[in-house]
Amino acid sequence: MTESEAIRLFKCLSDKSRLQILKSLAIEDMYVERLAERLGITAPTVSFHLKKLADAGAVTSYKSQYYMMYSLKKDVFRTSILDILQEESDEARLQAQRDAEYRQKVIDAFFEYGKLKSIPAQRKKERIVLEVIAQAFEYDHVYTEREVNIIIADFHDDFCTIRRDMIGEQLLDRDSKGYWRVKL
Amino acid sequence: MIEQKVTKLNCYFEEQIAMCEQRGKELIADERSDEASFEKVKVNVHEIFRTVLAAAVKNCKGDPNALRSFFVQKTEQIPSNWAIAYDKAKQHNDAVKMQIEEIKLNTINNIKENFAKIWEGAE
Repeated sequence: MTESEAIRLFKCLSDKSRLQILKSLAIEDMYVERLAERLGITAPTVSFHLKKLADAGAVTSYKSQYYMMYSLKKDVFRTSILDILQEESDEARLQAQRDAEYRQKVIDAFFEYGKLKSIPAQRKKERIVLEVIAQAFEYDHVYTEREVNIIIADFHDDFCTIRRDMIGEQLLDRDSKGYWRVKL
Repeated sequence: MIEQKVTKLNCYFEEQIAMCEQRGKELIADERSDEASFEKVKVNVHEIFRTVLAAAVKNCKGDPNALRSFFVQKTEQIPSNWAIAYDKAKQHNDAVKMQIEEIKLNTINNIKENFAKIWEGAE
């Protein structure tokens, strides 16, 4: 169940008449007039609530002879609240999408035909740029300083600054044998 | 005579509005907010026609027939869109919209009925 589906369902359930309808449907499938009679509310009001419950995914309907029967969607109610809380948030997805869009915007602004136009002054933007350059390095491979400089020089002439910043950002690591790409 | 009828009609509207508001409060207290909003719809319809009555009084200049025909005309004219909206909702099987339009139409029918009774002096 997505976050918006859960919100719609909870909103829908926060009404006494609708809860009474669901309680009746938990006993057996019923038609509008039967529910109206049982709950002491008018048939159009029952139809109104059933429409809201159907939209929220709480009930379903089927034709049986002359009647439209309504039944509880039991699967929905078997979902625990904890399951709902553990679902990835729609907002988190949107956030990730916004982050990806921002990242692409920075890349488009600072790279031209694969070359870095300038080193961003903002650390957040520089991090994105360095991550792109880091992709030119293979994992599990140890590079000499010369090799590192040549790879970086394909992007920008100031390979010393970039190499140092990649170490600082922990995208590359080094020891006496050489440099390697850090697994994030 | 006309003043008496207008006073009675105003009392009728006041009573209905107070009744619907009270019922709305009770429904909210009973966690039935959608049904409480139905009462609000009834209040709105009564308020519209209380205003129509005030306009009719102003326009008729003491002529009871003019007042009656002005009011009756509005009770036909204003709800015509509600009937259209109800039919449209019915076509699309939209029970939510149907319910609201039906409440408006039922309320105006009650108003028409009570207007006729009060105007003819049956009450």
